[in-house]
Amino acid sequence: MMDIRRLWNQRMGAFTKEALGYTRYIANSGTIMFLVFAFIGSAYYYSQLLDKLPRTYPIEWLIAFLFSLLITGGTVRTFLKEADLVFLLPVEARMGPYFKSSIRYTFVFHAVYIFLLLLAVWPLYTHRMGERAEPLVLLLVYLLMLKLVNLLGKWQEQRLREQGARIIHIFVRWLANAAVLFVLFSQGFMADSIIALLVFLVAAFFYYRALSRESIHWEHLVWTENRMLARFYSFANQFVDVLHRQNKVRRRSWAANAVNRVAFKQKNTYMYLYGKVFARSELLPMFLRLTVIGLLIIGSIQDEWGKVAAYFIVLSLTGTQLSTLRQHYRHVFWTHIYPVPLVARREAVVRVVFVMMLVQAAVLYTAVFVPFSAGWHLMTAPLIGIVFSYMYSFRMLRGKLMEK
Amino acid sequence: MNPILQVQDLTGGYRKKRPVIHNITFTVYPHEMVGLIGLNGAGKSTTIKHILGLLQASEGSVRIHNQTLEEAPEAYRSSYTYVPESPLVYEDLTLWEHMELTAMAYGLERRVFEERTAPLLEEFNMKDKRDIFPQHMSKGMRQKMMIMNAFLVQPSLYIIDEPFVGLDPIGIRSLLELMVKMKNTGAGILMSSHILSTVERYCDKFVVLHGGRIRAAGTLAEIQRQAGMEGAPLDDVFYELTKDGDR
Repeated sequence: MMDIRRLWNQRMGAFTKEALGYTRYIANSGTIMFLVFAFIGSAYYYSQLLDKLPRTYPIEWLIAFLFSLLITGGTVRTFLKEADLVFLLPVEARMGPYFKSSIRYTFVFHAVYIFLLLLAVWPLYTHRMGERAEPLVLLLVYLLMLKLVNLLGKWQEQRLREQGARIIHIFVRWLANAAVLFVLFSQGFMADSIIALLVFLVAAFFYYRALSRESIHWEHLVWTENRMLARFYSFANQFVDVLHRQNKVRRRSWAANAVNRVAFKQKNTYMYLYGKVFARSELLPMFLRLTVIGLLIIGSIQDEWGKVAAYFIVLSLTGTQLSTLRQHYRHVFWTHIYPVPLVARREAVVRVVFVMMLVQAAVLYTAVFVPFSAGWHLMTAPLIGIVFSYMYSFRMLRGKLMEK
Repeated sequence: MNPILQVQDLTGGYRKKRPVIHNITFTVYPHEMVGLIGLNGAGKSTTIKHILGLLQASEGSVRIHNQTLEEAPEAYRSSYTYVPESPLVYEDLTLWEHMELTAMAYGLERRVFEERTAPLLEEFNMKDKRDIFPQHMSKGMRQKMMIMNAFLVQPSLYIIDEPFVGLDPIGIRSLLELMVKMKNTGAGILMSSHILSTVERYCDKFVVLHGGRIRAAGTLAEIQRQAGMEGAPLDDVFYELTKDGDR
């Protein structure tokens, strides 16, 4: 007999212990300082925004939208492992308590996120609603209930074999959540809307109960769990080397093939390798995300100092993230076998980081022009971009690599 | 004729104080295939790691074309390719990209690279697999990938560690044919394997390792004589040489 609940507790405990192990490195890395400054800075801008924002501005749309994402999203952490396909498969019928623990565990985390988001938008909400604002506690309870319902639904959806079907379910849930949340944040608690919601919930209950008779889609669960673990490791990896992480490899021909344009020369061996690694690892999506966010932020800031500061901050964030490239294939065997000098590996990492920072610097520069106003920042930004990219990669990163 | 590989009184291991192999001496000449045989833990892999330059000798030396790794690191490294016992791959690169990377690492021209890859892919029946990732390959396919990478370079020395496990019969035959072909063009091959019948049939000389020391070395006739078993098959000679109590 296998004690299923104990198994879950063991796995959760092991993961928690590992995760806590990383917090030490995160605390040491200066990230906390950065977050404190970011918090103070954004609090300042936030209060200014509140002063300037007219009370007629329909901010409830944004609030409802943010909550709809948070409440629709979220995946149940199952702590499943690949070998479970062999060893737990036979006890599927007795896995109930195991997965219930997983749902509870996930809910606790999401409850915290919801609470934090609610605190964050609370000033905006009361600013807009004034007297009509509902009490914070009632809103929180309502949101948490909605989250729990969503999480239970999401769990049942994981049984669906077709990815298309799962996506449709998520989309429908999102639409329903968005509607419910919009009514909540614009109208408050209304008797008719609550009755409509209840009818809706009863229908959903019967639908999902039917779905729950399907068997568990083990492979999908294991795959999802691995993906979430990989995400966790790549986060932790920014602070300390994570040894046993599995990188999710994506083909991304459009990017990977661009790397084929480096000259077919011995000196480019590692440029080729690291170019491909960059294109196929989690680094490229990170790079694109930061670029898009950077464009939006720089474009939306009006004053020249703010634009240049944001330009620099986004670029330095990208640099920090890109520098994790150095940990890929650090201890790979072939490095010692190829007739290529050992330093070539280091130089390739440095160059890939430099080139990508330059690319981003150039792309972000376009946002410095929006909205166009002649000024010193038009000249300064590209200068900062080039000099910083060079200093970061060829001085700081190379220095770091030479220590080892 | 000058030897390609000279291992001279090699003593070494993972830690200087505690050597795993002792006084290993053998040579590989052009047009020669040498079989390195021994039980698990006899020191085959350690010997190979010393030749690859991954471990440092506490005594003795390893020379390729009469140069040590320290004397001429690049020349030393470009003179051989290596097929590891278990495939060592980049999860981020496709089969084709592994071959490109190898070609770049060994400084092959694009034209030469393309000339050589086509027949290799054909030979190992991997033509339609060139764009897949290692994740989607079987153990045998990964092994084939390693072999193709090694033979793509056409170096003067091949170091091949237990290549047959996981290969299908046609793959084994292709590999053996390739080895013979390369041998005939003047390359030297050092191969370690437990498949003694194959080793006996294809190798010109043998090095029998036992407990980190050479128990016998030379042609089949020579090691038969050293074991006092003239005319016996390699199987029996090997058994005789390694059966004693000092395991």
